[in-house]
Amino acid sequence: MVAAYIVTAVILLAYAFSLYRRIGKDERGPGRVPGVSSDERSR
Amino acid sequence: MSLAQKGRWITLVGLVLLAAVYVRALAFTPLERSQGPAQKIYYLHVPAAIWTETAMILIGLAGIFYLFLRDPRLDRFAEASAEVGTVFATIVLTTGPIWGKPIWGTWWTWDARLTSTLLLFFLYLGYLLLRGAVADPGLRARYAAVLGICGMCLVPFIHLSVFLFRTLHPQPIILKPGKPSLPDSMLVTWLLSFGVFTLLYVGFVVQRYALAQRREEQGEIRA
Amino acid sequence: MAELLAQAWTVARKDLVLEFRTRTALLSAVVFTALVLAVFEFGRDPTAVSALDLAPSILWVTFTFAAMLALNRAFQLELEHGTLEGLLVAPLHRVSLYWGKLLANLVFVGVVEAIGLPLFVLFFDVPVGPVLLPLVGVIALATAGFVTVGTLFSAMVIRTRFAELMLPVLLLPFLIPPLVLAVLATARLLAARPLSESAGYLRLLAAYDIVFLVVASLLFRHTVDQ
Repeated sequence: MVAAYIVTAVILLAYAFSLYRRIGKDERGPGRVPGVSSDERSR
Repeated sequence: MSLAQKGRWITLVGLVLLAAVYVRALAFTPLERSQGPAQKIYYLHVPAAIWTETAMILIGLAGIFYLFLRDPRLDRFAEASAEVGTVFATIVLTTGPIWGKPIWGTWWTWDARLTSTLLLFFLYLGYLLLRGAVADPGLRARYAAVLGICGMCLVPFIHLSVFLFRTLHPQPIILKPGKPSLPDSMLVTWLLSFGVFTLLYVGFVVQRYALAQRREEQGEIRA
Repeated sequence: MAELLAQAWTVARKDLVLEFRTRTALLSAVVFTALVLAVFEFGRDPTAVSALDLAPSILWVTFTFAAMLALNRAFQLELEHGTLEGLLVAPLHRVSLYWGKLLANLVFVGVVEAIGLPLFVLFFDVPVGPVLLPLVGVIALATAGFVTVGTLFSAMVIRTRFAELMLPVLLLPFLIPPLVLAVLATARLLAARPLSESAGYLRLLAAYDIVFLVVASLLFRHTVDQ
């Protein structure tokens, strides 16, 4: 039964981490047009 | 603070509070007399199930408003809510069998809540697949809205038919599905857990929304 | 309103004429249904479970497949002949277009089921006679449930990738409630239970049909318009 608690935590943490990575990747982003910085816009 | 950062903070607070709920549920909440430690799954299972369903209803509502207003923010919200809803459905579908195996001796049982969530899970999968299969953003938003609205209308019928279907099968002896009337300390634990899941839903959706927004912006720049 | 119905009938008639002129689609659907029933007959152990216990499930699995087949056939027709695109140019109400397609699909499935039901009775020797009318009612209501949502989704998936896969995947959760209700009602009817026991299920089936007929009618234009 504690296993259920562990699994829930794992799923939530995994998803939180996945979001973190995906958003982070987009912030760094491939091949952006020079002179346009999404970092400045988001800060 | 950008939207993504706000989402991250909310999620972080949610996760920390989740840990607190865990401690309270496992260590400081009394055991239920007839069911023992197994009953404690309801502190996680039920809030997750409630949000799985609510997320689908919100997708439907967003769909209705989208078809009237054509505001892409509504579609972005639906996209986010769908992904988060799927995650919560996964929680319900994995914790159910884990707890069910020792109690009922089988991994799967056509219990009302599990079966409803399974159908919702298929709904979510279909929704995400549909979104993935349409390239044009406007068309995708419209189709998603149509499916979302149909999904929302389906939810009450899922409940009714699953409830009726379930009564055909032998009832589990030890555990009666459904919220038992709770003494105070258990009720508090449950409410705290529900609050935490609400917070996590919001945090996740905000982040996923921000991600969708960012992708659209980058798409525009590249084009 | 009358105009909507008239237009719907025009659309339906066009589709049905196309269907029944060639007859291959209808024939293959009937053959398929007979095949499924035969497989069930030989796939079960008659000494282990009585036909009466299995019969409702067998009937409804068969009819669900028949409905899916009908929807798929209509869908294939669209892909091959581009009939939907052609109709969109015509001065038709979108609602009529949906109702027309719905009607054509219902007639098609109806014919298949009308042939399938006697076959079912033949194979499984179930006492259908005394409950024929309510049973036909259940069949009509549940089939309407499948086809109402199915017709809406058919129009939607045409413009998607993996279109053939999408239809059954999207449709699955929507098939379950009417299926469950139909099986429950059919079981009661075949067991010669009083009609009042099935009444609740019939009411729910009717509610399902009304809700999704209205919803689909309202939503259809969003699946075809720009």
